[in-house]
Amino acid sequence: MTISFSTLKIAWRNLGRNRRRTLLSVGAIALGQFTLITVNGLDAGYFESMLRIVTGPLIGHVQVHHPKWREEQAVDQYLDNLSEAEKEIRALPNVKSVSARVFSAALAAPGERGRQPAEAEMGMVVGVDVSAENRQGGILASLPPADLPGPGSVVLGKVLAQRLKLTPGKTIAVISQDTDGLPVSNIFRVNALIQGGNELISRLGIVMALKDAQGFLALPNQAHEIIILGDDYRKAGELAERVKSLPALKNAEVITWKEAFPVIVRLIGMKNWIDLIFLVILFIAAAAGIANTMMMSTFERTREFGMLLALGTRPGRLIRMIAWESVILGLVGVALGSILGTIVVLITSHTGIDYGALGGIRGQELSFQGLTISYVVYPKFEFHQVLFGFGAVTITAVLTSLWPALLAARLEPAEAVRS
Amino acid sequence: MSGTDGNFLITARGVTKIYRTGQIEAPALRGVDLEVKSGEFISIVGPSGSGKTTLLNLIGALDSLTGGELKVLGKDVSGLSRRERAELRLHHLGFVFQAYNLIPVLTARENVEFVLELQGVGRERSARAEEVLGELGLSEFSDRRPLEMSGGQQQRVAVARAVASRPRLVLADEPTANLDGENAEVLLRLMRRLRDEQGMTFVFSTHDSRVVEHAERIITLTDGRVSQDERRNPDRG
Repeated sequence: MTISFSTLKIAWRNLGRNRRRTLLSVGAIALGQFTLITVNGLDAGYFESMLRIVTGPLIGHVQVHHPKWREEQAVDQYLDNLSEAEKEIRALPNVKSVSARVFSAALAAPGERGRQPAEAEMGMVVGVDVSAENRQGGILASLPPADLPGPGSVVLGKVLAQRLKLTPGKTIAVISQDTDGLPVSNIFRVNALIQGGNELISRLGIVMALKDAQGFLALPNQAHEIIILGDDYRKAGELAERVKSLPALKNAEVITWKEAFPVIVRLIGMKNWIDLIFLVILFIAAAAGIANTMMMSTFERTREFGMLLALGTRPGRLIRMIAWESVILGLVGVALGSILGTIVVLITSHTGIDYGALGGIRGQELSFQGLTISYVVYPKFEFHQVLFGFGAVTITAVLTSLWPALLAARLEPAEAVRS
Repeated sequence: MSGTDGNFLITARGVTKIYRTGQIEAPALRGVDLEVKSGEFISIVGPSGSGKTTLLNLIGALDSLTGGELKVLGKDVSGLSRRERAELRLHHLGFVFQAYNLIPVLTARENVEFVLELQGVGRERSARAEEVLGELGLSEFSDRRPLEMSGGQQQRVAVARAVASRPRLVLADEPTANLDGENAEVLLRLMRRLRDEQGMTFVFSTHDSRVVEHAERIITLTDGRVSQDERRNPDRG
């Protein structure tokens, strides 16, 4: 099938015959495509920020635990021979960082006696690799180097510190249990307070250097959790398989971020459905606009089509002419919507959209499944959404033009010219 | 295509056409016999409803006959498929309609080019379109769209389009119906000139006495039958 230049020319010029109708259709299609790109851009930006937190140093790409740790979280369910395990993991390809954590429930109270007897509060000792957690997305990401926990010092979750009325520079008494169930206690200096990233840390966290925590809990070469970051979170499954095969971790449970945080997988699935729903809305808007325009335009031109057929125009050419009119109409609309949508998404991807401010809660953060997520969303431009829109509108345009095109092609020239 | 049945470009034998709407039958042609030679300049006249347009439509393979036999350029049009009829119209016939004759979104030259393109004429079609428009004194209108031309100019462009591919037979249905006297005269002189210079055959239906004056043969239809077939010398009036 050849597409002649004159077929395209006639199709294009025919759209100018009733400009108001054409503009309305183009506007409807453009609005649909604009909505598709901006709403999906917002979704994508929101999910990406969530994914960045989930797959950052906090949760990692792959986690290693004692097989019962996730179920019971008891202090004696640790991974043994930590240094050897870390060495083997670091030797694997595509591993960017490895860090270990220890956890233990604790009671905490101010370390200095005040006029009133202080009440103890529930806390959680978290021993971390300080340099690893100080990176973006880590537990200690918000702290300057001077505030990081060192020997004998800790960083407290802000909520816990408020409950204990503690400020940086004060001391905190921490009582916990070692792996044999024996009580252990010590006094630490409070270096700084942290908030954000992880709600659990904010409410309960007594964060200290891994060595301090290991010494405090009598876990000299052990850890409860190893966090592994690879070079691509999408390849976490392959990385987990390689980690599982390491001799030092043969009895350990190795999971990916998807298993550690399954809700994100469901949310991503939900996002795909949202994308699809908008695509369907775009289909319907485009179909309604184009079908209306093409039907009206075809019926108005019955005599003209009869004349074209009388001159010897083949029905197939007439069908192509009408289909091209429809496709051009759709493409102009979708191009306009794409340009506007892309501009809006690209601008807001830099400036961000503060949903908190829109709702009158500027400066706060959203807590979701223990993660703290900013209300400021940075939409993400996804080129495939533009292509989906183009594809959807092109298919819709061809399909909706078929009926009027076939009606025109089946006209009897004599009857049509007489009409 | 040999083009003729003996010496005749058109041969009609007992041609009938009945329009049916539900149970109602409306006979438009009741047995037309007709022979047209190459190079004739014929006017089909008759009152409204006498079957003039129907006969032109049948000759032009725009419609199918109900009965009888009709050969156009040696082809039995009743035996042609939809596609073959389109091919016949495209390559051998030229049409001029009463109104709505041109593609409104194309210029005069593009309208002429369009038919040449349908016929498969290549890159030279633009030059040919200009040539035909020039021959018919329409060069100055070649870049105008129909709405930018008068009715008479539009009809002349329609004639240019009809004759651009040098068809053997040009059919015109009431070509002067929407024209004033001066424009009708120009159009008819033009058609006669083309007949004289290029040997084309013209058959046109009309109510217009000005058209009839130019015809060399006047076929009168009454109630779907040929009631009179008169040959004359138009120059002698």
